[in-house]
Amino acid sequence: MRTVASAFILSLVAVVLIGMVSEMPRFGGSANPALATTYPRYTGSAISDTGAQNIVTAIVLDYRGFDTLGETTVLFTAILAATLALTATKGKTSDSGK
Amino acid sequence: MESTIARTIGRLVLQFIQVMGLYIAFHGHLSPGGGFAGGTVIGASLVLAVLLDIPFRGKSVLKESFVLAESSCLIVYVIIGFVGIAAGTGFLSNLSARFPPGTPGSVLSAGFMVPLGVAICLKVASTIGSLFWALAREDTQDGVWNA
Repeated sequence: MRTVASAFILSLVAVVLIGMVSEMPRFGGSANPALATTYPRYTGSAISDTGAQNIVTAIVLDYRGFDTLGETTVLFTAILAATLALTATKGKTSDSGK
Repeated sequence: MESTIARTIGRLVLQFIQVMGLYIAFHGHLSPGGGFAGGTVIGASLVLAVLLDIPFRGKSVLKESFVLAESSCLIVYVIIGFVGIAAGTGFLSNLSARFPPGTPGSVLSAGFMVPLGVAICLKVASTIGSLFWALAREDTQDGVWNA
């Protein structure tokens, strides 16, 4: 009974998922929103939006500046943990960071 | 390291490596590169200088300056972000917070990107240096740089 019920539910989910995938635009098609809307939006107005000629830096430091702040924080936390773990001396706690 | 060849070549090459790193960091908004890449180059040059035992000014306070740079650059980043809020727009907003756009293509352009790139550059360079110091510490006496 359990097997039948789970098979029924799983086939329902499969029907929904297959239906959704068949409705999606063709992978890599030139009319997809990622290529037809997002790409011209950023390549066309990066200089007028940010003043930077390098679009990669314009996205990393301006459009996604908050993400880069998180990236820098990750770096900070990582080096903090590495320094704490590597320079800890057994039995000495006061001068281990010096 | 005791190799005369490595020390002589390293002494010659070191300044070029550092100028290259600064170039990459300052031109991040114009050409491929940026703060992360430039900071890695500068951090690697400092590691090279220490490994080859090349004397340079400020070597004795290198560890302290790494700690200082690491913390202050993150604070500088956040302060630049808060300028946007003070100007009435969002956090880390660039030209809409009236940072000067400059002429596209010149070094001093693109609002806060150059100071942000330099802050990231110093941050990454000090991260590389601190990591090297932590790993090479077993070879040092009393925490002095003499690897």
